[in-house]
Amino acid sequence: MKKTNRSLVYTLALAIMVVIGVVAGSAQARPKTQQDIAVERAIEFARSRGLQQSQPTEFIVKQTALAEWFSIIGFHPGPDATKVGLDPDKAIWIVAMKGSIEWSGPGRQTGGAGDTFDNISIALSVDTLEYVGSFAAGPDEQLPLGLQR
Amino acid sequence: MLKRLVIVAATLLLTGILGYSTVSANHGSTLHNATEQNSGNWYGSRATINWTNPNLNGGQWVYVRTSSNHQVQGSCFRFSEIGWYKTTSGLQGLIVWDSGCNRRDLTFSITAATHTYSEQYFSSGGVDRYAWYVDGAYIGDGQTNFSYTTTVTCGGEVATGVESMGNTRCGSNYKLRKNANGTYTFILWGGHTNYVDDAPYYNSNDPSDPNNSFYSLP
Repeated sequence: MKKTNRSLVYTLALAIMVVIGVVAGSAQARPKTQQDIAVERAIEFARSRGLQQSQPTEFIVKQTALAEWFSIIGFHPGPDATKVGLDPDKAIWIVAMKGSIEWSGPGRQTGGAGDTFDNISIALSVDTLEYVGSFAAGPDEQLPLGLQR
Repeated sequence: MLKRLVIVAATLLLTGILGYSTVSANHGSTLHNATEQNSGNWYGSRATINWTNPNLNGGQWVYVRTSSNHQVQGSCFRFSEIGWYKTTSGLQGLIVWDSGCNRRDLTFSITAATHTYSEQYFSSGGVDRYAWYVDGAYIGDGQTNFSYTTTVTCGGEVATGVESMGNTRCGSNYKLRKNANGTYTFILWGGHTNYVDDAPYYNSNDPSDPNNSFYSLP
């Protein structure tokens, strides 16, 4: 009797997990939007820049123009900016993320403080999903796109 | 048998729900640099850097750049860098700057050729900024919160330590001197000392111009 009860419990538990797995799998099976793909790509770039988690703890995504990215990072384009592809009207995605960053991109420093951040934002080209730039805000700076600390 | 099935099912279920990442994070602070410096209070830097199309060897990126740095040990560094940047996607120009405990970088288009990269200080509305140029073209400027440097550098950085720096030449290195009358003049480095050599990466003099030019290897 005891053996039969145990078998039934195991079988029931397995059945429940299979059902949950199928439902969860179905929920993830919808086609990815362009925004989904952009967010995935931005997270990949963020991880290559030092995001420690596999996913940010929170993020906001926006499709906009490069001019807004310039404003966020405080970049003033010069008269020759468009000659090197820095067209303020260029369509980009901005994905602003919260997470633990140990900076591992170009510009790592030796001997000083300031390679650790609690946020990173990535800008990508809408057309190609090519990397445009990144921004890790300091403790006294606002996070982009209204993201709150 | 049933226990094993339960464990397998649970594992599959967790994998399906939580997902997994195919991208590993770079766990940060290890440098892989080879750079030379000219110490002193300067107001910008300039270098002619050739394009060598180095092999990434399965790695991520290589960045060879001229840099103006204002560094106080133990504090957030402030710096400005410009140069070429090769990734698995191809070649871009790259500017990186930090105005004190923050970090920004911005890519731009360049051709696969030798270019002269430069940056120089100016003040606007009481704010310290650096302006960036490629072959004399003014790309733009950003806030750096420093005017004079503690050192200017040139050389290579790589992501993981497997990438090659391509024996790239930092040629004709200049530093920007502030003159007594308040104007600025680019002058040749006139000598350089080691800044960072993370083995196996290192710098080697250019015999034709040892005071101002050197290679980042291998």
